[in-house]
Amino acid sequence: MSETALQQIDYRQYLRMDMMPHILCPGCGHGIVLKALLRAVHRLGLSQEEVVFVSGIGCSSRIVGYVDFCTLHTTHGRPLTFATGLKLARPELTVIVITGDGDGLAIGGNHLIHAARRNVDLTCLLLNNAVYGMTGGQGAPTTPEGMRSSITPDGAIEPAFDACRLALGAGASFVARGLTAQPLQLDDLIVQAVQHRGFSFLEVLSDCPEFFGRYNELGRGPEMLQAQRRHVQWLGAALTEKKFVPGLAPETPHGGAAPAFNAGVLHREERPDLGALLAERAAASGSRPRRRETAAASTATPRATSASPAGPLRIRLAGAGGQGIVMAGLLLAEAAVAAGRNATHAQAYGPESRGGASKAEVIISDGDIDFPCADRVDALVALTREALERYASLLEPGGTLVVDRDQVHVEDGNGFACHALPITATAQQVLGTAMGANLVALGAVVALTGAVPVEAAERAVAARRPGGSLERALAAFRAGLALASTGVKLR
Amino acid sequence: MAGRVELVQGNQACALAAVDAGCRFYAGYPITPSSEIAEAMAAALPPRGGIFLQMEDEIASMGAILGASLAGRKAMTASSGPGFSLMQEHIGYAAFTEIPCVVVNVMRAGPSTGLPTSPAQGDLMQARWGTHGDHPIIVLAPASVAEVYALTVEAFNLSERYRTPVILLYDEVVGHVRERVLLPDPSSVGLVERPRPEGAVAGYRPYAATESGVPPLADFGSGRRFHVTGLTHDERGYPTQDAAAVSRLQERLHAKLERGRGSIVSWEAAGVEDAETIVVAIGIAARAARQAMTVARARGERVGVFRPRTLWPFPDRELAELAGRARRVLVAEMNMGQMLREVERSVAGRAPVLACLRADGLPLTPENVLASLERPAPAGASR
Repeated sequence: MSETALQQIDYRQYLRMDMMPHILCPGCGHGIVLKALLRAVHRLGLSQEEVVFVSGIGCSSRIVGYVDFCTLHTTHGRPLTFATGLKLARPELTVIVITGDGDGLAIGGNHLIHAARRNVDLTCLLLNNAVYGMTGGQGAPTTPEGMRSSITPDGAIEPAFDACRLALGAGASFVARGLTAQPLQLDDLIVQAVQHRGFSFLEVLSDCPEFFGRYNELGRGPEMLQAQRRHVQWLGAALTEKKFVPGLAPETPHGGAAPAFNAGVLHREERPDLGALLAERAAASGSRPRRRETAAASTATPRATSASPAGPLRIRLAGAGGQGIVMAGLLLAEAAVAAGRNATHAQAYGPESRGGASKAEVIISDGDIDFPCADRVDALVALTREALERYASLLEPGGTLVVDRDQVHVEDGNGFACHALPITATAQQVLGTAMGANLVALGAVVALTGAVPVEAAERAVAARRPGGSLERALAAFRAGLALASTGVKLR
Repeated sequence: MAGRVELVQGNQACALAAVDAGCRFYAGYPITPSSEIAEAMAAALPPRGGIFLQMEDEIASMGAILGASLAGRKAMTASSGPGFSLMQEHIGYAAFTEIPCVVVNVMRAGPSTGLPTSPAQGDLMQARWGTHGDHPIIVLAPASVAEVYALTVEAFNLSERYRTPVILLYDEVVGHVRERVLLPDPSSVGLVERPRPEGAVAGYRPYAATESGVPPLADFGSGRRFHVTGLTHDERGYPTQDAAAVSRLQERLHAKLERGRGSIVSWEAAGVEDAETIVVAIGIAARAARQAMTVARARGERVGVFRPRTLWPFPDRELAELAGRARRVLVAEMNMGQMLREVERSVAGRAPVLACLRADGLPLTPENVLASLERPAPAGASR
């Protein structure tokens, strides 16, 4: 853009004049950033309809209220989260985030590093004035050691963040630092940041004469701008010292002489942004057939019409986490539904993926099932001793008890039809692994209770293929069916 | 109605319904017992042109769905109690800035990490009052897998119609139970789109006091430029401290849901016509109450069940009318007495209110309800 065009910018074209006067203090650096931002948008030729400004809470974040675009003034620290959703939902928009050092590095620090890592195609301007201005001058994560604030009257003792190093470490693909003391260079940096495809991070050193300046006797706006120039080396190629923040006093360790902080474009790399990666993945997923989740019901009739007036059959399967108890119950319930009956499947489990206790219960009925968690059961499958001890008392008199013979020793059936079967051993024998004991147990309980037709159960097993192999899953299930007629039965 | 019968898990039904309701943006963070919703959305959205994001936390998840919703997408997140707590600031933001969104809370036992895999109903008050400040909110409480589907669709429709966050609240049992359901043909599902502005672009007021109380919302990037802020704002969306404007905004926000109350509030009543005892319950506790009712009625006891489907706004007038004809009201819930207070407020002395509470990580059972029914009603006093 030529000098002539630059001169032609009428800032009022981009401002909500009906929102004036603004709330920024005299000498505040943020107004300088606002003007640079408008010049950059003007130079890029972006229309006001295609740019969205998103900000958090704080002095810097207030500037989005004054610009006549779509503007989103969000919550403290979270503008990058809103911007991420906005940009991915509507990729054609140019989304520019304005945040401050407290907003972006303290309360919102986690969002900053994740936005950088994701490389969302956003431009993030972090206006660093080393202080919480809006709340009255408290120290920030950027307040340098030794500097005073309303809550560090004797000087800050915590080390300060270097925002650019942080963004770089987190994976930002464009990292730059600009100064309010050098506003025309700032225009260039904003233009480059917006043009970069991916997450562009631009820290802008800004000044707060009202609080930071006053607490540290650094003068007003002009003096603080002079100090910026003394302490920043323009266009450094690498991130070096992290000691500089705006308004550095002459008596600090650097003595006000040597430049301590680099500005300019510090890092730039080309890598695909998240939006592009998601679009690529979505295009690929559209053509990939999805795995069927469940066996289709054999009928579209919602209400079963079985002639049998039998009450609901309640079956509890219990064992250790990782044994596939929940899956066995699921297959049983799916088989029932596929056979045109009503069924529910409820589960309870502990925090462990392997080990711990696990149970599932299936209720099969020809009518409505009010309460899906049975506390009395007609059949109990116990694959561990603990499962038997916990749940044996719930079994109805005359109910069916199935236990794994090698895990659970049962002296007598206590009035139940007790089937002590070599469930795990059979899985080991048929499949060469104990994984699959759940399918053996399923076969046994189907054979012993007649809860569902064998064909329906086999279809459910075939649809889900637990373990990955249809042949092996069916082999285990059928071995369970066969076991039922050969096992030890106690009364 | 065409459709298909399947054995479906509650959380899966939520995801299926969200997709059928037009949800095309999901952001979330893993937490038991809600993670199946995220897993299902991760598979379902990309092939449909939707976006699925796993964010760094629940705060970010809520922020992302609000950004996406402002861009015009129907958006959802899901979590459980601890994550729901982290979402609260943004739920308030959504209510105040009137950005449609759906938030699912699959309740586990708390407080704090509590019993992550166990059911509870401890977030009834958090759902209503969890965020700061005065705000209206809609909370739906399904009790079955079929109803999870129906109320997820309803949640999107209400959030769009009223420009408000809607919370879908159910316990772990409802989230994990699998039931036979008739899933409708998606094309037969009735959908609502948020009011969008028409006509002149200039002078658009995103918070105008329209007749319905629900101002049209333009999508960001659709040509209308406007400001959205969590600061108290005027009709233009500009921050204001003018007391009259502040008051107008607050009153409109509350009035828009009060005006729509008739089409929002929903409940189910069974056996209440001749009931001496009305059991009030939601979620899995309501199903225990239904089974207890069947048992009690078989014994000749006149028991009915009143089940709010909208927990907020609470169907207080409807319950009050029924309670006036009963001898007592029993609140069955899986917490230390949250809905109880709301029922006491609603019943307002028309009948004594008793409690059947369970907060030990196990589902409230029909036997619990039956045992409570055997307790004599206290003379006169409530509880």
